[in-house]
Amino acid sequence: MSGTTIGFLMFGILMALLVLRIPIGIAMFMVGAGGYLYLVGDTLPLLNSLKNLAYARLSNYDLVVIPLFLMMGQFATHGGLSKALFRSVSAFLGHRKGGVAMAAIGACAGFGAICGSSLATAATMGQVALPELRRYGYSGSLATGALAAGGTLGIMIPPSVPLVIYAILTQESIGKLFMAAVLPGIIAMLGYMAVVRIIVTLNPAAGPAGPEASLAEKIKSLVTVLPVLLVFVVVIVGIYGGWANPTEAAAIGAAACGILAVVTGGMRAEGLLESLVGTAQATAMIFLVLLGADMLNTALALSQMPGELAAWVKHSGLSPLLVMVMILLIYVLLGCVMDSLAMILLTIPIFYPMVMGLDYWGMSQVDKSIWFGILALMVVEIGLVHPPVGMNVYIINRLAKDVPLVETFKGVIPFLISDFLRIGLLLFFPIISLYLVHTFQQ
Amino acid sequence: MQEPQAPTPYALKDTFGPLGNFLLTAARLMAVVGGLIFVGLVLMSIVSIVGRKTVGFVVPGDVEVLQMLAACAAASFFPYCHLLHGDVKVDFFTHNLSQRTLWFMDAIGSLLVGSFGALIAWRSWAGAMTVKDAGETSMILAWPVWIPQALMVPGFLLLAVAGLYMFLHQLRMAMKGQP
Repeated sequence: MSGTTIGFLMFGILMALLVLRIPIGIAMFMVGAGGYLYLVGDTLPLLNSLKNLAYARLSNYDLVVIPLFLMMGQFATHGGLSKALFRSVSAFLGHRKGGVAMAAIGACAGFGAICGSSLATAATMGQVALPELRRYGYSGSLATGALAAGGTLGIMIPPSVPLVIYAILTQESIGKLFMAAVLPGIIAMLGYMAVVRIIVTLNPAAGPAGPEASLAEKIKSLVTVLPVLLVFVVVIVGIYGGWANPTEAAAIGAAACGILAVVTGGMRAEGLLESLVGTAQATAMIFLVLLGADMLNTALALSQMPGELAAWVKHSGLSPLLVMVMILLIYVLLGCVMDSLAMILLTIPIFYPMVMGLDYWGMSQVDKSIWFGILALMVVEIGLVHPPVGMNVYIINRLAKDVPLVETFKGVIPFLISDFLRIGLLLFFPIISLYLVHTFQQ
Repeated sequence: MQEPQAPTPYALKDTFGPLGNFLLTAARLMAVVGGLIFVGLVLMSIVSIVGRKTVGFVVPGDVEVLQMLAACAAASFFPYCHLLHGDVKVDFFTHNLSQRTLWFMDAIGSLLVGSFGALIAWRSWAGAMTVKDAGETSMILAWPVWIPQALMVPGFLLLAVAGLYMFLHQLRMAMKGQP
C-alpha cells in the first residue's frame, strides 16, 4: 500500500472510531500509533517517540497560553463580570426596540474579549441576560436565538482558543491572528444586532423596548466595564505591539481578571477553587485531543498523504475558489457532528498545505495563512449553533426552561443567515481580516 | 431528541462508590495543585515583565521554569477531567441508542483512556530516565530536566487508574441497566 492510501485508510478508521463514541483524542492517538507502526514496521521507534510525546507537547511555551486564557475566562465567569457588562450595554441600547437583545449580544462580545470559549460565554451571559429578556416580554425564540448566536462571539473575538491551536499547528503568529480576528468579530456582532433589528421591525411584539437609562446611570455603568475593556486592550495590543509575548500577555490577562473578580465581583476562596478546577477540566479536555492529534499528525506526515493530496489539488486544475468553498462546506458538515477544536486539529494538517499551494488573488503566503485561519475560525464556530449538535443552543435552551428546543433552533436561523453572509464577505474580501494586521505592521 | 452530553464544564453528575469518591477527591486535589502552579507561573510572569519594563530585572530562567512547571501542572489535570466525563466525544450518531448501550460504549472508551494513561506514564518515565542518564540540564538555571518529566508520571498514572475505575463503573452501570 502506498503512503497516501494508508493516510486515507487512517482517516476512515478514525471516523469509524469516532462514530462509536471513542473519545476523540484517544481515537486520534490509536489511529496515529497504528499508522506509524505500519509505516515504520517496528515497535521500537514508536516506543521511543512516545518517551517525549507528552513532555514535548505540554512544555511547549506557546501552548501555555491555553490554560492561562482559560483561567482568565474562568475568573471572568466566577467574578460576575458578565453582569456588569450586560448592565452597561443595556443602559445604552435597552430603550430601543429589540434593545435588550442587542445589549445581550453586545455584552457577549465584551465577554468574548476576555474569554476564549463560546460555551462559557453562552452559559454565563445566558444566566444574566435571559431573565431580563423574559421580564421585558421578549419572545422565546428571539431571546434564546440571540444568546446562542451571541455566545459564538466568545471564540470569534480574540483571545480565542481555536486560533491559538491554528497558530501552533501552522507556526503562524498568535498576535497577528488575534489582530486579524478583531474586525471580523466586530462585524459579527453588528451583523447579529442587525438581525435583531430586522426581526423586531417585522414583528414588534417579539422585542419590546426597555426603560430609558439616565445619563448618570450610563456614565456609572461605563465606569464598571472600563477595566474589562482595559484588559482586552492590554492583552491584544501587548501581544501585537511586541512588548509582551502571547504567554506573558495571557498571564497579565489572567491576573487582571483575577483581581477584577475579587475586587468588583466579590470572588472568594470558593470561587477561586471553582475557577482552578474549571481551568483544569477545560485544559485537560483540550490537551488530551492535542496529544492524540500529535500522534496522528506524526503518522500522517510519515505517510506523506497531506503533501501528495495538496500537490494533486494544485495540479488538478480545480479553481482555488471552488476548493475553498468545498473546504468550508466540509467544515459546516463536520460541524454537524464534531466539536470545533477537534475539527481544527483534525483538518488543518490536510487543508493547510492545500490552501497554501493555491493562489488566491495573488496574496502573499503569510496573508493567505492568516486569512484562512480567520475563515476556518468563523466556519467552525457555526457548528456551535446549527442543528443537530449546536452546543450553544442546548446550553441556552437548558437555561430557558419554558422555551421548547424547536423554538430556539428556529430563533437561531436568522443569525445563521448573517453568519453565512459574513463568511462570504470574508472569503471575497480578505482585506477585512488583513487590514489591521497591515496597518499596525511593525 | 435526547440531549447530548455537554462537554465540560457542564458535565453531568455521576454517582460513585467510596472508591470512586476517593479517586475523584484525589484527582480534584491534584487538579487544584496544578491550578495553583499555574497561578504561581502567572505571578512569576508578571514580576518578570514588570521588572523588565521598569528596572531591567528579569526572573532568571523564567521561560524554562514556566515550561517545566506548566508540563507537570498540565499532566495533573487529566484524571479529574476524565472522572467528570470530560472527554470530547462525537455523540451525534449514538444519542438515540439505549442508555445501556451508551454506558457500555463509554466503558470501552474509558478502558482506552486508562490504557493511554498507563502507556504514556510508562513511556514518560522511561523518557525521564533516558534524560537523567544523559545528564541533560536546562539552559539557564541548569536544573535537571528529568525531574519535571518524571513529575508528569503521577498525573498519567492516576489517569490510568481513573480510566480503569470508570471502565468497571460504567460496565456495572450497563449491567444494571440504570439510566
